[in-house]
Amino acid sequence: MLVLTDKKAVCEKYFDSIYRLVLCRAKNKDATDDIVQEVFYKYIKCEKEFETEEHVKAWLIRVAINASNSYFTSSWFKKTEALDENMVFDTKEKSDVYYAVMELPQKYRTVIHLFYYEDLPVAKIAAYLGLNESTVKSQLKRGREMLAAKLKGEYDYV
Amino acid sequence: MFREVYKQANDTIKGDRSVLDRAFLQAAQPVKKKSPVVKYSFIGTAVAAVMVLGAVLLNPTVFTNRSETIGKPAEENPTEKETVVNTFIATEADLVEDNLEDEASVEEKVEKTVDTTAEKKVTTNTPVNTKTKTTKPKVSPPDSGREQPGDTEGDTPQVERGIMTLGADGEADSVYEGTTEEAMITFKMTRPGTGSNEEVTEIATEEANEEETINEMVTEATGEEATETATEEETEEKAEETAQNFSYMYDKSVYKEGEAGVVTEGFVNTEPSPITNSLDAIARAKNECTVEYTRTTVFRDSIEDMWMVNFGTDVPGGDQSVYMTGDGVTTLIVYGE
Repeated sequence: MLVLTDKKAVCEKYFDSIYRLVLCRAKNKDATDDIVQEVFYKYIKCEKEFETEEHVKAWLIRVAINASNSYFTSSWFKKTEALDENMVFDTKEKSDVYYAVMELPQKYRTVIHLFYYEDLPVAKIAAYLGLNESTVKSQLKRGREMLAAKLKGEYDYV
Repeated sequence: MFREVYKQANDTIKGDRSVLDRAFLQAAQPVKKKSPVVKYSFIGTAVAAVMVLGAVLLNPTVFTNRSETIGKPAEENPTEKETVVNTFIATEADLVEDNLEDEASVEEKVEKTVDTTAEKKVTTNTPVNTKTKTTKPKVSPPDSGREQPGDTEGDTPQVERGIMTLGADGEADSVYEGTTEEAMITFKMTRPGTGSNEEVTEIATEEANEEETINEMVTEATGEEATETATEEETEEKAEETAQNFSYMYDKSVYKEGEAGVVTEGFVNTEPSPITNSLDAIARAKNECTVEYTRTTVFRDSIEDMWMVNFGTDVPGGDQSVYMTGDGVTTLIVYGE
């Protein structure tokens, strides 16, 4: 059982999850490091009392999305060009799937990541992103269609 | 399954844990406090207020005169300064020539309106007539920034006559017996109240004889009206001629909407009232005037059919320019030029 008052332990537990989410959105390691640092800095400084682990995770995801949105709208980000990050995977299958998702537009990418990696229901994704459930559903559908086209229907998107 | 493969791919991605350390370090650093509020930030304002108060206390007459004349038209303003300092630089020869011409013209004008008994005394006493004339300027001297060639003709002689009045003993030749310095000193004394006959009379009596003083008193009552009529006619003629050219399109491009001192709406002159000459333009522009002006200058853009009246003040940046269409509708007001 995670002690929620131990902020270091909480940070350690959710670091990778938040890092992957931000990397999925930013597609850039340096930018991801900056955003993630800001997210956890806010968490450390936050005096809010969280009741459950889920509550903490939801808060971190929400802050990560907001921080990355702010980063994307910053003038510095607009003036720079994101570098293509070369991820090395042990199998071609993982590499194909991962890069297929990375090639999707950002809004589809985020929804796909939260749905398939974080296993979040549509309602929560909609709440985190500030969207309607129907919007999330349609984005999921469009994302799946694009992935199917890229991966040539080799996978089952359940 | 897509979900499993995607999860496995993501699980292989590891973030740099030093990011967490940096976040903790950043959080451990004390937050930079905002610069403390300056307790004595009001000192500048207080010093400025004291300076203004000091200026008012040291020179109360200026303050009083200004406060009394706010909102009054130029012709009613007793503190109006109609002098051009350059006049004093004029050579002695110029003064003599101009003086002779003025003397003749003033005599003619006074003869038209003043009764015969007063006329004899007035016409022989040039200084008194000229003094009353200078107190009623209809059109102020041109602004130093925008000269009006035709206007200076009527103003320069006034100053010269002022010199004659104050420094002379009744005859034109005697004016130039004194030095130029004397004339300047005398003039400066009368300058704050060029409309005040009392001041002029006092100075005149120091050097003039009793007869002159009496004559002067007579003309205050009778000659003033005559000279006022004369000056009105003169200024009407001059106003027709003095409208200088300007380009409304250029000014409009310089003074853009939203800039400080530029007003493009909320005007008084919204109903058409065609402007036929400079006097009409001035009269119309006065409706929009909000500054305590000491001179007016009229400009005309015949291409765009626009008029511009500049209300000049002695305060740097205190001028106001009113732009109107040929129909007398105000389109633009610029302050501070």
